[in-house]
Amino acid sequence: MRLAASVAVLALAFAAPALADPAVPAGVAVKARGDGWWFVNDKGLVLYTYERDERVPGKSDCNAECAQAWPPLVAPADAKPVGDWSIITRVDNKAQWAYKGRPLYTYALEGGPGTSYGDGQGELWYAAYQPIQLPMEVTITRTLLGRVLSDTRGMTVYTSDKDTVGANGKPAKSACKDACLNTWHPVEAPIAASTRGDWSTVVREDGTKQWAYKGKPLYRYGPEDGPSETAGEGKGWHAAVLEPAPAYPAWTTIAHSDAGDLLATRTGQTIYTRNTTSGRRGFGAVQMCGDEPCLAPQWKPILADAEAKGEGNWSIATNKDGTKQWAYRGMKLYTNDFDKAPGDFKGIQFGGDRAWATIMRSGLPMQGVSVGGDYKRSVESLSKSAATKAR
Amino acid sequence: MTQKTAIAKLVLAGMAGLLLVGPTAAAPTKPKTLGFVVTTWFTSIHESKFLDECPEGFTKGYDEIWWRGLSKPERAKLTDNGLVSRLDRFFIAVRRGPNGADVCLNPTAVPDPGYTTIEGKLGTGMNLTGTESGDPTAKTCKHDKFESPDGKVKGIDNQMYRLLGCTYGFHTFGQYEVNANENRKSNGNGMTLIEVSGVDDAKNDNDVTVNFYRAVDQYTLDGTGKFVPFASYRIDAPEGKPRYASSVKGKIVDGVLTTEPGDVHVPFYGNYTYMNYLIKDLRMRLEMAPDGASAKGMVGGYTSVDQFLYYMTSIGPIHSTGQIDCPGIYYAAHRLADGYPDKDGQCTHLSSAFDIKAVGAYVVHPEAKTAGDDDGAFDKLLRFIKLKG
Repeated sequence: MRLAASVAVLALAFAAPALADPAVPAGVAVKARGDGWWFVNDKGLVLYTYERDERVPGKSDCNAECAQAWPPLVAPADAKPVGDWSIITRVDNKAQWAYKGRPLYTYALEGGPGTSYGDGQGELWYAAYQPIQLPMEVTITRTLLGRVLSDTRGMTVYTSDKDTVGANGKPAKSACKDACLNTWHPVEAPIAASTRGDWSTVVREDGTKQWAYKGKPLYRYGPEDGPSETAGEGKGWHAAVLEPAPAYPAWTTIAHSDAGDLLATRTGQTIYTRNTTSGRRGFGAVQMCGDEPCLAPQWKPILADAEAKGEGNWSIATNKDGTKQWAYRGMKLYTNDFDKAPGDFKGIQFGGDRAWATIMRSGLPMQGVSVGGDYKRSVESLSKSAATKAR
Repeated sequence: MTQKTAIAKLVLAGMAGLLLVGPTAAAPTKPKTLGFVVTTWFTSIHESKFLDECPEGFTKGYDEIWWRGLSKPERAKLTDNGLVSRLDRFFIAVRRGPNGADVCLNPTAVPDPGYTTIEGKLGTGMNLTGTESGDPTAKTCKHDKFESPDGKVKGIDNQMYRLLGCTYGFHTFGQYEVNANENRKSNGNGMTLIEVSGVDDAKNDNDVTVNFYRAVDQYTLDGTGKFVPFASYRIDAPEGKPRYASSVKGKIVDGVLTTEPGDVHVPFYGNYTYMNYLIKDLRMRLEMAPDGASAKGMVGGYTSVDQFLYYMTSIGPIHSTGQIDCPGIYYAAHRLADGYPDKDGQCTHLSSAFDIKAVGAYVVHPEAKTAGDDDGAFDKLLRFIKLKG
């Protein structure tokens, strides 16, 4: 996992003093967030890293068609490395900026400044960022609630309303004792750990030390058995959210399905996106009707009111006939009349049209071709917990 | 050891002694609950050694039908002179309809190409109608019945077997069912939990309730990949309400559980297809091991033709080795349907039977505690002493 892989880097960061905005080369800017600093290009577009680049350090594995969808962040011919920023040479001999050795790209289908349509695409593309300072025992993990502090296995960590928050030199105090400890496990800190930046420690009754972030002691929720779960949220316990997940429009809701929680309309119809790229030859290839993909009659566009406004990854597309249609990450949205009950997703029949995908509660797509293997672990684990929260 | 700890251990030892001696009068026993997680689920197929039940051999798959319908030059053109990859060829073959229509998405785009089905009288399954005649009733259409190979069961209703018995992919050496079971085993989708409640005697009890749920956890396997009995599995119950929660009455005779007929939803996953699988008039016969660690048996009932075809047309183009042709199976399934006639008298369901195996399991309801959650008695006692002390 990308975040887990960066633990070693994070540990080094913790040893450093509190970070100001990280140094960046000309043509790159930083956007401060709760979980760290995202990097954007001179047009304000988010920069991404590609998981497959890990296979060949110092080189880009995204060329030809891939590079059209994911344009590399080209460095000027006279560019010089800056801090964690280095320069790699692409197969066409052009220079490309890399951050901590990872080549950087923009996404051709980005909606504009402020959107991150590419983040999580294919579970291969992720927004490049410098995380906040973190001790070795803690990392950052993506959950339904947003990006949260987690242990090194990706298990969400929580804070309690009952604890005394440390502030102004007054130490934090944990109220979780005895039976509470059967369910809530303190995130243990090394005995030599000391206060650094937003991180401090609580000395527990048994003499062990517990990490506290911004004065709040941290715990893991015992019944959770996988990374990214947020089942402990509620009843005075809160996941340590650094950056909340983006809001969904008011016309959407969550439908429970066998494949996890799906986004649906308020009437329970599963929401689909339509990919416009062709699949394998003769199969899944999108038949075009003029400039638009042909639509079988069961597919119904999700129309937007005239005054509706998009936000974040949600936008409004204007159709040729003047109607407005909701779009997610730049892709127009539809329902399918074959879906009869909330949680149905017959529009992505595997042997059928691979060009359709649903949107999981996590914001990731579920496409016919990818519903298998370890999918349950990667997506359903994100979706099944935190049932009381809409996002 | 502290003094308090020593006292606590002594008190516990005393309690244990009392437990060993036991009460002097027999206390009424609380009904038990037995739990199982289904580990394998196969469409019940009778296979003779020399495939006597399919004298014309297996049915043809869509790939073969496609290329047999082409001239040699057409075939060469469409397949880059035969150099196209096997997988790509399947995706081309499935578009044999008019104007390249996908015949799995639109099976009626072509006329019925025929489908080879069972011709013999021997088959597996259950007698769902209770008679030995296949004459139509208010709930069924005319159909032929089977007799079990050992002759013990007569009047078997299993049109699903008639439909699939000559389909390569559904035989034990085929791929469909093996794949589906392996899919469930590896990713934990489509796992069915069976809970038998109100059990006074696990060997003989004439009134129990059988509940079916969907599990959200993956199978617990040992180091060799075998299913571990008595693992805990949580019910799929977002917001506390089970998404799957069918219930039928049953009885246990000599450790064999049989149920009364009832409409039951079970989760299905396999070959990349998810289904909330409704089996109408489901009945189950489950032989439970005396220690409750394992069980095996059969499930019978009526499967909706629409739901079955949804699955078949989903996997049709992918698993060509299974030799299914979507239009062929579409027409044949409608032709062979024997249950639940619509207003025009056309039956909409296929009598079916499935062979299942299961291992014992703890079925964890929402908010219920798992075995590992409980505080130990010793810890509780220590805490009590600590509080009072």
